[in-house]
Amino acid sequence: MPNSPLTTSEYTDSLQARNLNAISHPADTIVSANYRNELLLIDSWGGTKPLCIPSVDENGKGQLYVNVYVLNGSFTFSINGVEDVVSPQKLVTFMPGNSIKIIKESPDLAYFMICVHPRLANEMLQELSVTYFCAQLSSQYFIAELSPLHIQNYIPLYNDIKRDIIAPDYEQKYIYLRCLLNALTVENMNVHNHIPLPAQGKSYSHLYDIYSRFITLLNKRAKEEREVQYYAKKLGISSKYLSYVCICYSNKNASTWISEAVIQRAKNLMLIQKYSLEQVCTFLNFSTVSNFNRYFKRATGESPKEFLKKELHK
Amino acid sequence: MAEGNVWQYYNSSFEKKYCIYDNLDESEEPIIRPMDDMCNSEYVCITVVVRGALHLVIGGTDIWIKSNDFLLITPCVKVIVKESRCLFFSCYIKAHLMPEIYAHLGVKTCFYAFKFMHAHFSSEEIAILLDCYKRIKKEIERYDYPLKECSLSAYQTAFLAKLLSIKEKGQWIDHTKNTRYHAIFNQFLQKLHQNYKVERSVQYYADSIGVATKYLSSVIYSYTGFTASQTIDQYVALALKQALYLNACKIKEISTDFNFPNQSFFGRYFKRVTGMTPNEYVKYNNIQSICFYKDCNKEN
Repeated sequence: MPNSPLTTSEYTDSLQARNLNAISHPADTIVSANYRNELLLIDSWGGTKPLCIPSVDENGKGQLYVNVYVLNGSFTFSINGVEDVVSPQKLVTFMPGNSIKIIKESPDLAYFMICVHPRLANEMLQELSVTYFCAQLSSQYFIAELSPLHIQNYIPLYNDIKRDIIAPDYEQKYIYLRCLLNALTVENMNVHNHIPLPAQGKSYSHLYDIYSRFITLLNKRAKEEREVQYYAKKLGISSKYLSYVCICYSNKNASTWISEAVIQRAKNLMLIQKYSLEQVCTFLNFSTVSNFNRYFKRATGESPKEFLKKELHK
Repeated sequence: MAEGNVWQYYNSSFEKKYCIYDNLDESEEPIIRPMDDMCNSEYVCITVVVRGALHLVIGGTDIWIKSNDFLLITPCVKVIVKESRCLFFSCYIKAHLMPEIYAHLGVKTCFYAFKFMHAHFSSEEIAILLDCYKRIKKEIERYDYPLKECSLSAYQTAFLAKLLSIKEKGQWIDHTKNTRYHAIFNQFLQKLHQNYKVERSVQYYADSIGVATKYLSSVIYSYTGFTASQTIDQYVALALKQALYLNACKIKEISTDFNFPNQSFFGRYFKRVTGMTPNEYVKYNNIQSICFYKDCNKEN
């Protein structure tokens, strides 16, 4: 078992010394490291700290992305009323906006946990141009296997991040931590996705090259072009291959990516209230408003008017 | 150490974009064999000597890199390695990847080529850099997986971030000998950077600075180890290589952008300076430009 370099009392001392604004967490959770309330690290290598999900709002809903890496022992949790068990050598990721309660934990539970604020997580994911979520789940939680090799890669990274957060501040600290977090996110992707072998003769980074060009092109042209065929032609590949590449990296195929990008832009435009629906659909290059309504409803399940009503009601 | 083996050090690279060399596994300070004419025309080279001393001639300057010293060499500088004994590690990063890394670190690229930086740090700081290096080494050795390049570039940026954080604590060693030379060389670099796409003759630069071409050549030779025209060619070649990395299919565009009279001239120029035709360069470096199809030029 790896040794954590600081004792529990030193953790609390450093926490108090930094005089942080207390984010609400139960008194018996001691956060091992906290970076500007956006990145929390909690670990218990030898079963000394009870497991607790930090940063919960008044309704009991978690506000952070929480990744728990269980090395030994197990725990049972309930999320929005549904129960599940996490056994050893597993990684469980909880999405923000869900109420999570820890029901039971085994006495020998050894874990480390990384919690990321959604703002920081979105920045990182945009930079890596990947999505983290499996498309199937409605994004509440998911569990993945941790092989010993994965654990070997994670633990030094986690300790490095922790050590750097606790160390005194310096100008490039944010960049340094971001780099390590990017590497950690890549590790998480390795654990969650089952990447199929690349097509014959091409190395992985050729695939990644296509993928990143597609995402950049999509960001530029989503307001005009919605056909997979257009993007595939621009990149010089077939639309089937483009979808294959997208699934390799993100579990979403090319048309899902495109529709998500279009819907995101539509929602942003609609929320700027001075634009009427007709104007929005001209901006997004839809031929008629009814086309736009149909597209929106098919992608999100509700019509634009319903969406607007819901948003303005808040 | 094998007799006929040029690289008696550990070395590894990721698609020729990130390369690392070290001889940290040796128990005593091993001999570094002399190497003439090591021109890193496309890499930014970061070397740290852990123990011992490394004797180099960079451009025209004779330098000893001693224990706990750090050296950064930008591309297009002629480096001669003299026989030395030291334990070292070094990272080579392809020049076209540096602007993005500099942008992340918030560093304004004040110089892009022809320069080198030498500093002395304490053992603790070198140990920090060594940790970062070991992480990069571990990552390069891993099996290939889709986002490997991302995580490698993240670790490399982390290495440079740590370097920047200890920058103030180092003693930076200034190797300028002659202030007049220094002023002329900097002026030349500035003008070169502004005009390399349009003007490539030594006479133009000598006139714009107001010195004789022979004098300009001798100044430049003392810094880079090349004559003025060779230096200009090297810089243009570096920029061309970067353009090829971004856009390997639009050779016509590149040749008009750089004001070459026609594509064939561009190909011949490239071959004369780098030894490879543009196509060979793209194939050698595996630059996967997906638009490398003939009808791609009709779109856009």
